[in-house]
Amino acid sequence: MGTLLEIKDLVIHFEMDDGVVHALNGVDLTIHEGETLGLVGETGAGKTTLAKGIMGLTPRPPGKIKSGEILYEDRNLLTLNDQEIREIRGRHISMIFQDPMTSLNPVMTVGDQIAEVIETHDRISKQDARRKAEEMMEMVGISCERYPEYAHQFSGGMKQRIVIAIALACNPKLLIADEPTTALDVTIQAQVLEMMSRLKSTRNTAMLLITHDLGIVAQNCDHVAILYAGKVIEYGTVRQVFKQHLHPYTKGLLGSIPSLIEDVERLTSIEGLMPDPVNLPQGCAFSPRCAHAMERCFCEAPPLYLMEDGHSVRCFLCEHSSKEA
Amino acid sequence: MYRYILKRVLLLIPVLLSVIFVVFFIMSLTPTDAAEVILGNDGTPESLARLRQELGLDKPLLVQYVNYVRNLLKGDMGTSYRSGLSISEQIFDKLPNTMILACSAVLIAVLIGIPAGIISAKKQYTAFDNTVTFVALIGAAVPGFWMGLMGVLLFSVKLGWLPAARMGKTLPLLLKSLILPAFTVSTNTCAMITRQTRSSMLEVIKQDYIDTARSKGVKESVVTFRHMLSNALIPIITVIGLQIGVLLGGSVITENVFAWPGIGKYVVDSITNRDTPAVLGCVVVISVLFSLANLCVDLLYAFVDPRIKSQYSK
Ligand SMILES: Nc1ncnc2c1ncn2[C@@H]1O[C@H](COP(=O)(O)OP(=O)(O)OP(=O)(O)O)[C@@H](O)[C@H]1O
Ligand SMILES: [Mg+2]
Repeated sequence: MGTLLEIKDLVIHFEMDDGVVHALNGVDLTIHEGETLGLVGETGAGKTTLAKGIMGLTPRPPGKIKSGEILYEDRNLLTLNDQEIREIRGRHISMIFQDPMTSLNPVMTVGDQIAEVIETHDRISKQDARRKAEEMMEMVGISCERYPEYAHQFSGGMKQRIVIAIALACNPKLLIADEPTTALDVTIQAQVLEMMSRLKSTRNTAMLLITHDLGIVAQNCDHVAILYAGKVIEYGTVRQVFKQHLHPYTKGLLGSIPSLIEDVERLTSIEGLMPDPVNLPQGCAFSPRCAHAMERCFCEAPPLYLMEDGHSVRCFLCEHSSKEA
Repeated sequence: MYRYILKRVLLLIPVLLSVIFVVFFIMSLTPTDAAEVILGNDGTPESLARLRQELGLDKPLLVQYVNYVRNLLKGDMGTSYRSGLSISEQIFDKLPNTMILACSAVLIAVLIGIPAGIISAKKQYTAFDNTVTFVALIGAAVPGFWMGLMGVLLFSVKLGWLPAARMGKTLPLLLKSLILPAFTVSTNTCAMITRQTRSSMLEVIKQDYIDTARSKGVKESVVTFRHMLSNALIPIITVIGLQIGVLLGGSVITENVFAWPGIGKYVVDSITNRDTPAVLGCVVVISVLFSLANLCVDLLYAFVDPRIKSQYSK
């Protein structure tokens, strides 16, 4: 599998009047062609910031990209001009936003909203774009008779299907899905996810699936990255992260999902809260909550240690088992 | 939808009847004696009484009201106490002048205000935005007549480019004489439209569907007009509609400053002349126009926003 997108040392800050929000502090991440990468993190970890950063949609001001590269097919997306990035958006990389209730334009018919992305990228007539948009609607399970209707006439799950149709209309190579099912109720969640993974595998689209639901990750993803206070603290295959997790935070996260098979006395949850991104602690950002914290954890930030099997962890505990050691 | 329009038009009837009644009642409280106004100092007590009887002024207020409405339905608003001319003819003579002034003022305000508001919102907190916000604040605060007088001082007295007053008769002269009063009237409206456009654009800019639109890779101009402006339009239309309504009633002060023969000037002249039926006629026409402007705004909502349209058709 070739590399599709490579993020190197991405740092994004929001410069507010009352301080700098350190949303992303050096994210390294690779997405391979056709794979699904899960991105997991607590609220405020910087997941949406990362997704919007890839799309070139960081609100500026207050957002500021301090450093880093986002390489897509060997081009750095951060140095493209407006027109070049527009050609990437929608055609090569597209995005599904967190809340389907508010992601559709309320005064434009849903059909036209799908056709718009097709017209933007494919040189085809209006009628052909319309026909293609109708096909997309059928593909996500909505009758194309509803083309001339507006967003307020659809339920939440149907709106998300329309959003998915927009995102997939031009056959992008990468789909970024920012908590695509969080706002939906559980039965609809399963349907939408099932449909997404079916469409993505028939089209060989890679997906960055952002969620804080580990169950969704286990079912849908190939690799997982755990994001904590704007840094990837553990990365590996789903199996590696779920069965052989190395970072104390990951362990805590997994401990906080109820299991039906094992008979746990009570759920372990991680003590404390994620640090305020305006005042990040010195050293490892997780150290104040970590049961295994050593003295050096409080003053020195651990690098990402790469293991033999491709699993990587940002924790001093793994220093000796890493490849370099 | 059509049923809704019909309902709204029918609703205008009780509104207008009440407006006329209120005006009628207030006018009856003024100590003006119509017969005295008409006959002036030559009136003997007998001739005054006779005239009052002829005019129906000795009848109870309610009877006068019913008679007025009955005549109004035939398009008759009575005759002026001063000139003896038909009031409806007078009003419909002057109304087009007011309409020319009002429409050009609103047009100017829209052409300047909407782009200024859009750019201002898209470049929030930049020097451009701060300048626009400041100028709009001044435009909203400065009284129209002062702007008018300053304009006359500069462009007519000092530079001699534009006529100071009176409406031109031929088209080029008309346009030339229109410039000063139209800009004067549009100052406040333009400031209001700018401020409203800016604030409702700022509201829309941070919506998620704008990110969706951008993530499709469409041009920024498409994002601005198709996705932002069309969603920001409702409050802007409301301001424009209200302003049209107000301006069609005649910009009383501006028309007087520029001796513009519109309905605003006519109403002031009629008041100074104690010409009761003329004032009443003006108020009736102004309230009809105002109600129609509001109705148009309400109907426009449905075209701009499908959510409102679906409520209407229920
Ligand atoms: N436009 C913005 N202006 C200022 N701060 C922002 C902005 N967007 C995000 N942030 C800050 O950046 C940090 C990361 O936010 P982000 O939205 O990426 O979190 P998230 O991981 O997506 O959380 P959630 O699970 O709640 O969606 C937060 O502290 C947030 O307050
Ligand atoms: Mg988020």
